[in-house]
Amino acid sequence: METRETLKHFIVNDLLSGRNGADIGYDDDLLLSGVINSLEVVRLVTFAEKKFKTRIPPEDVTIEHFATIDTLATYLESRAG
Amino acid sequence: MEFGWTDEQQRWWDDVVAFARRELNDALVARDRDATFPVENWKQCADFGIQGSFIPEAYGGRGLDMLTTIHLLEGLGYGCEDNGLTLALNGQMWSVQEPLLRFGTEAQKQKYLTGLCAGDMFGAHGMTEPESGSDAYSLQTQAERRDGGYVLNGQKTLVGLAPVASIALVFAKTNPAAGRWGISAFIIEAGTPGFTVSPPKDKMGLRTVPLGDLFLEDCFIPEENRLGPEGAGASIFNSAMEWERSFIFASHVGAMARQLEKTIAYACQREQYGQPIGKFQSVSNRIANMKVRLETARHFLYKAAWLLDNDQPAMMEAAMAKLVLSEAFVESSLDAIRLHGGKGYLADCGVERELRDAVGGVIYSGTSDIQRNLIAGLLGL
Repeated sequence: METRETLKHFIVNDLLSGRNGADIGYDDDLLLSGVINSLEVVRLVTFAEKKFKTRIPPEDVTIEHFATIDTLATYLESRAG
Repeated sequence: MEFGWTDEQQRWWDDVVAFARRELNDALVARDRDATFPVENWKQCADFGIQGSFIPEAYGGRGLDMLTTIHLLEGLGYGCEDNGLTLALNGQMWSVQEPLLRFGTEAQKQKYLTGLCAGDMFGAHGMTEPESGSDAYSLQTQAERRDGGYVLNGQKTLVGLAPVASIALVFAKTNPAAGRWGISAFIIEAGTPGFTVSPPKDKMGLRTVPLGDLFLEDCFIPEENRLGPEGAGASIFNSAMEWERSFIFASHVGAMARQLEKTIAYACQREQYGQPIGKFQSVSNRIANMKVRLETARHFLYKAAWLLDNDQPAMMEAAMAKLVLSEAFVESSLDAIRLHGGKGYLADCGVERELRDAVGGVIYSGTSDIQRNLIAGLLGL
């Protein structure tokens, strides 16, 4: 759960600055519902790369991996593994 | 931190400046007036190694690092006074070749990069549409899945090299319900049924590079011609823009250096009130400003090159480089005309052409206002 909590903390406190409240669930849609915009996705990528010491290739920045905190965490954990 | 160029980098500069002055500047006033694309010069540039500069040798390139490539392109712009030609070269290199290199399959790289590096092919990049410019992801071009590929319908506009394109990198919606996350990238070859191009459009500056539209009408593209995964189009486009915005002005920085030297020479030679006009502070201050803009532009350009050479994200730096370089070229071009006086207003002088060439830079590849929006957004605003 640590990856999910770290991502949620960054999204809620840094990206959104409380804009959508603190109630974003791990399986809530982030992209199609417009919770985060395209530049915030870029900032999320930069954060995840630094925090989890990995490189996220641009072709992996897709709805498949970034739709929810859960999918992103699964993707990042698969890269770490 | 190293601010000097190596002997090898300096040799590239010397060689490309000599090549450009010798081969690329003939009849430029007429070429500009008649909007003639110098196909032969394109091929000469390929033979010199321009298009293939940063491409690995396995695909017909020279395999140069990014700082050396940028130095080479700056030297090209310093020696070559045809800003349309250098813009066309940079456009193909950063918005077509680089994404092909980064996201292409081995077969795609072998098939297309070798031809592009050799100057046998012209590559166009189609994103903008009649109803989508700054709001790029609201594009309407669609790609419907069919057996073994996709059927594309739509129109791309304001595309550099479109009228002569051998291949076009085109973005289309494969999943319209997913908005920007449902966009994919495709490589379309000239001669594909349903793919046509417009004649060149007349325009203010950069007149030697043909600009036009791409039309897709029930155009079947095999799956092997999709670039990258389905749905990764927006991310591929973002990546391409990071490279294009970082470097598309590399040759224009060289042009600014040439423009500055020409203006200094004129200010030293032209006399009014019994002395060279450069002795008047109203003149010399403008020239000082031109020098500051040139050096500022170089710092932004080289920083972006260093970051991308070291596989570091550079979206912010790319936006700042594009903003600073494009605006600097317009400002300095205007100063160059003011300092040349009436002579600078005449076509033969070449200074007025530079201003017309510079203006497009604050529009293409994302306007200056869009770059400011990007910078602000990345700062969390």
